[in-house]
Amino acid sequence: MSPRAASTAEEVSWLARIALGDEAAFVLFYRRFSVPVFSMLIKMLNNQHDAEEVLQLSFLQIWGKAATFDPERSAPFTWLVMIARNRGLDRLRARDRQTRLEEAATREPERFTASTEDEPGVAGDMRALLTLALAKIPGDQRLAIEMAFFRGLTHDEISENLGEPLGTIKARIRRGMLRLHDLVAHRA
Amino acid sequence: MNERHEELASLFALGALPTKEARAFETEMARDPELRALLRDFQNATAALAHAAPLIAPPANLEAQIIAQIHAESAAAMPTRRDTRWLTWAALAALAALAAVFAILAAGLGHERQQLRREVAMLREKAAGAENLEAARAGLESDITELREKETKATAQVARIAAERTQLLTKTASLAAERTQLESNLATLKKKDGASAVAIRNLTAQLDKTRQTLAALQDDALNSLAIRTLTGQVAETGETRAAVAWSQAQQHGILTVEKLEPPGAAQDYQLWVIDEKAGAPISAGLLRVDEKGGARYEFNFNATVGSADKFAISREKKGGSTKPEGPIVLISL
Repeated sequence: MSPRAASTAEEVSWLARIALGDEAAFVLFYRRFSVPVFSMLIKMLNNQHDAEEVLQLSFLQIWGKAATFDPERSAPFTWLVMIARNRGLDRLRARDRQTRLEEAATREPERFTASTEDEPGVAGDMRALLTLALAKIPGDQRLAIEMAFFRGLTHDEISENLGEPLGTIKARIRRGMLRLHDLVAHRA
Repeated sequence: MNERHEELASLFALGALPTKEARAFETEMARDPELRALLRDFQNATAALAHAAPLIAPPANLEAQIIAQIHAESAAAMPTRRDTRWLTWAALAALAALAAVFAILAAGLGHERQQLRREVAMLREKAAGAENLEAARAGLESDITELREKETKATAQVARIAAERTQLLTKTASLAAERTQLESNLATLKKKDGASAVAIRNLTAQLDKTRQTLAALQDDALNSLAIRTLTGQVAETGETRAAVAWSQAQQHGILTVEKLEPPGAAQDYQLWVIDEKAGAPISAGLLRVDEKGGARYEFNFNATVGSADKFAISREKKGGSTKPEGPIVLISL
């Protein structure tokens, strides 16, 4: 069993215990994932207060819905990211859409860059590996993926924003996702 | 998986599909396990993107706030009515006096707490039921989509069958018209056939009659045909051969002669037909004998010769005679 698979099994066991009301397991889960998820929310929302609120709501949802987690459908971290991201997108949509588009148009999106900070444990290892893997994805593909993932833009909006044909954007995202999947699967 | 599926799964995993397209993809995914597996792979890959954001730790007290919130929510889920701020020291005396009543109330509150726990459990079951309903809704949407596809196919099939039926009806009408025409033609042919049969019978009868007539004629011709050989009556016709073919019916004759010496310069050979009932020989004309002594001479009579009993050739003066005057050189028996 790879270290990554072992850590996932541990994370699944935490969720099982959380479903039974085990606060200690919840704390372990929070400490494993709160930093990358909060970082993602900061990048999405670009607002410290909103990111804190969304993080809090997301972990409360984990506490209340842990029993519905299905390890056959996703990894624990994937499940948490989907919950947090959906809540983050809800918060983004609550803002004025036009403002968001203007922000996306005027602000250069941040690139996937390696952090200079150290993050201990499995999450840190994963982060280091992903940083190396993501660097292998062509820039235009990463940019389209990033605009969808962190800004919550649809393919139409990305096309409009970048001034590229819709078909080009779709193809970039498909190729980028296939590359990302290969890299993540290989690293895992 | 084709490129379209990979594209849709990529966009769906990133949340980049507009609502209408996302709904359509969910419907398609509901009946395609391979597509669901592909989406799971892409979702796991997408989640890894969170690690790539610049690291920023949440406030240190946020963990404690969340735990406190969990406690608060648990407490809210189990209300105990412990708010006693309205109590005053003065009221405590009355509270003591009502201790027995409070004991009863405490028992009631305990019962209410149990009731609330049951309600919470029911609500959780309802929540789970709602998730099941959502899954059932997705399943039903998939079924509806499938039924609509079947309906579309069935409609197309009905239209195709209707078109084929129209073609068959047209063809049937055409065949019926053709059949009527053929029956009419057949009736006409039968009529013609009947007329032809009558005509054939008539012609056959005529032919038979003609044959009979011809046979009778042939019989008559044969019966009336006679061959007469002529023999020499003088020294110079000793080796002469001569014969007459005579048709009594046609009053026509042919004389053939060989080795007959030519007559003198002032003489002609003259042919005679002897009808014993006529009383005198009848002249049949003058012969022209060639250098070799041969002659072929055809003769006819306008007036009927009653009976050509004999044929004779005499040597007459030049130009012939009305009755035999010179010597008979050849005569039939």
